[in-house]
Amino acid sequence: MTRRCGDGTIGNTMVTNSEPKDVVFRALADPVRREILQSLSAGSQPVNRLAGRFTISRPAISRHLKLLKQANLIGLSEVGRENLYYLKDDALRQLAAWLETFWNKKLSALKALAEKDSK
Amino acid sequence: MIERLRNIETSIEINASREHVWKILTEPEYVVQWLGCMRYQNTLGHVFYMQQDSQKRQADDVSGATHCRIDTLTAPEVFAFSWYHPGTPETRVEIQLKASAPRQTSVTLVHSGWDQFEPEQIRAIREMLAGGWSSFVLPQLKQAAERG
Repeated sequence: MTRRCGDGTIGNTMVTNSEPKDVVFRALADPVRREILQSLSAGSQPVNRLAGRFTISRPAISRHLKLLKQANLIGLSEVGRENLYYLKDDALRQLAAWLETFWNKKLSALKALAEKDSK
Repeated sequence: MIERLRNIETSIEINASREHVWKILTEPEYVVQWLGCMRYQNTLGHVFYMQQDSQKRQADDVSGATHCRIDTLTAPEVFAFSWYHPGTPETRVEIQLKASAPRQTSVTLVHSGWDQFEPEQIRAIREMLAGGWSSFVLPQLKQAAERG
């Protein structure tokens, strides 16, 4: 997976060995799916409660959930008659990786500033 | 159960003297520019804030922000601060400067303390980092994704 920093002044690129990158990127590119992830970051939830947070149709929510599940960002556990969606533990490690990217970005900003002012 | 998180470590080479990098790294007028934090002062024990919410940042509102308390200011070598949300274990960010050539400085950042979190506290970390999902990480991924 190749990640580029969002800021145009930064040229650093992080490479990791994740194969379903397109699936993950596609899953994260949608605001509804990002909101679902954010909602699940507070704890697992049954699909009804999740769906209740959005104004879009239940089948549309199901499609979003399916995509997130394919991207391995969320999982589904069946407890009795209830289906609970949860954020995958892997997602936490990804957060750590992203925090690393965050600091890379900050250091790049520091570099740009220090080199500009020292001329 | 999830394995414990290792330290986050990253480094960069800067083409400037160590003294100059130290100035940019720690002096208030510059820190705001590269770190984007709030209420920063370069004194030991001072608490500054990393506010993810840009509206709150503009309003000088530090609610929900990450707290950073400066614990080391050893010019021109080590700048370190804690990084936490009140009520959760404190992680620590340490930035070391080494002169790698006459006008070149090697900057290493280590974000440690993740091993203090027990698996059942994972939720606290998630909440702590959740701001990053919306304000930094996801827009960045979105950009990367849209560029193809």
